[in-house]
Amino acid sequence: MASTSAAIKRGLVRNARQNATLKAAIVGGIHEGFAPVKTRYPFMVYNLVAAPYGSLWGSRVIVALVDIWVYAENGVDASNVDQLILDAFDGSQFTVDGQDTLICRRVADLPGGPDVDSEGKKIYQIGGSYEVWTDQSL
Amino acid sequence: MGVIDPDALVDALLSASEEGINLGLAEIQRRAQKHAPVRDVFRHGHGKTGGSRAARADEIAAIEKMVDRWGSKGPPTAYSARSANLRNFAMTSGGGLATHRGSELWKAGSIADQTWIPSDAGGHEPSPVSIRGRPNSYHPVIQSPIGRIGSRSMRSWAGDNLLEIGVIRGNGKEFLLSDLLSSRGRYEAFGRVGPGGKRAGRGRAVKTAGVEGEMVGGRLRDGITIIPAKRNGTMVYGFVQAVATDPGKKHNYAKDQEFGSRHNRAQPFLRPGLRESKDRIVKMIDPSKGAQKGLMQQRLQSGRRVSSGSEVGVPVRLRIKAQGWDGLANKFLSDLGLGR
Repeated sequence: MASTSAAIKRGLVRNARQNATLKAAIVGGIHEGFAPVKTRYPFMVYNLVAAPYGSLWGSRVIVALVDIWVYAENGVDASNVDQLILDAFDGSQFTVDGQDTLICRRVADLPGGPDVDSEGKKIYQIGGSYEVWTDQSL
Repeated sequence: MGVIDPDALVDALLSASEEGINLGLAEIQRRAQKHAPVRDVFRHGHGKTGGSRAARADEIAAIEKMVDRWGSKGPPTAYSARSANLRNFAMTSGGGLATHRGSELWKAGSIADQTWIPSDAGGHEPSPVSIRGRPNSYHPVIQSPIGRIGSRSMRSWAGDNLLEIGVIRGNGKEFLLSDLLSSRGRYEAFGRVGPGGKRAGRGRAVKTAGVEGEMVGGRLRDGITIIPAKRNGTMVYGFVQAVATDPGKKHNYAKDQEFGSRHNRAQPFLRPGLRESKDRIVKMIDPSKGAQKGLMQQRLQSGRRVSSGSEVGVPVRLRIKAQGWDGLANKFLSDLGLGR
């Protein structure tokens, strides 16, 4: 049975959690879209940007573009965690249920400026775009 | 055999590429506009025919007039009771106002000036200022670009009369026109009353081509524009960009929508537009057709962020690398079977 980009998101989170160093570094956890108020820093947020399908005879390729951000109270923490995310994802072939992961690679940096959160804390938002290529037989 | 001018040849190829890139940019723009989030200012079930729509200026004006009439005291509960005729402009069935994109609602106002003839009086031909029907059973007739919308019987004899809508009754409930808007919609449309008595009006003042007046919602969508293809040496490049700022503020929230922030989740629109269009663009600017094959290397650089304080954009660049004028001319002639 064919699966969608939801399986890619699941695989992505699973991969992040399986990396003990990364998991320990993101104190506030992993969130999709945005994190609730009062989430502890640093934390990771991922967001699916686009996942166009490419159909071949008997198989389907999904090229999912996912933004992964780190929010931290200082720029150094944010950059360090961003590096851990890069290590965990760039060039990896993490498991995606029902699909074969061809490659995951970072395709762009997403430098965000400092911002102020709802509690008045200055926070840093740093991240990157990752392209995840998967293949599944139909 | 005529003499091939390599410069003219390259110039022609670059011109063709510019044209192709401009077509590609238009494709991305169209798709990005489709993805761009538009403020949904209406309450669920009202003013919708599927998907979100923006409120038109005349709808806003009608509602704003009511809101201003309330002043700081809020909606008067006696509003409908005091003006029985207003209630006659009511709906007794259906899921709300029969609006659609582009509907016009007339301002509430001098509705009491209308003459009403109960339907059970019978036998009266409607005059230009009279409308018949049983009280509380009228369906509003709304002038829209596609004609009048409302009950069939109403349309048939309303003639040139257009009903003004003040209070709408539907499904046993009565609500004011302003209630069509969600709480966010009311805020976006009117904002809070400031010290000078002015309303914030965030999300307003969007001019859309082909639509008169301002709308609530769609500022971001309308802020997606194209910077046409330009040449820089043998490179041709163009941009699709999004600029959206609130009145009186410099902050470009297009960036926040594309990439998200601590406060709001991302709702990307530019990059999905690019990704969806990528294959088509490559075909549009494909230089590998005919005699041009092998003369150029093209590169579609995508997904790279160009962001400053004022804009966020997806660059679409076609890099054309000529193989030197002699090589270029030789290859061209070779492809044509006219090798020299």
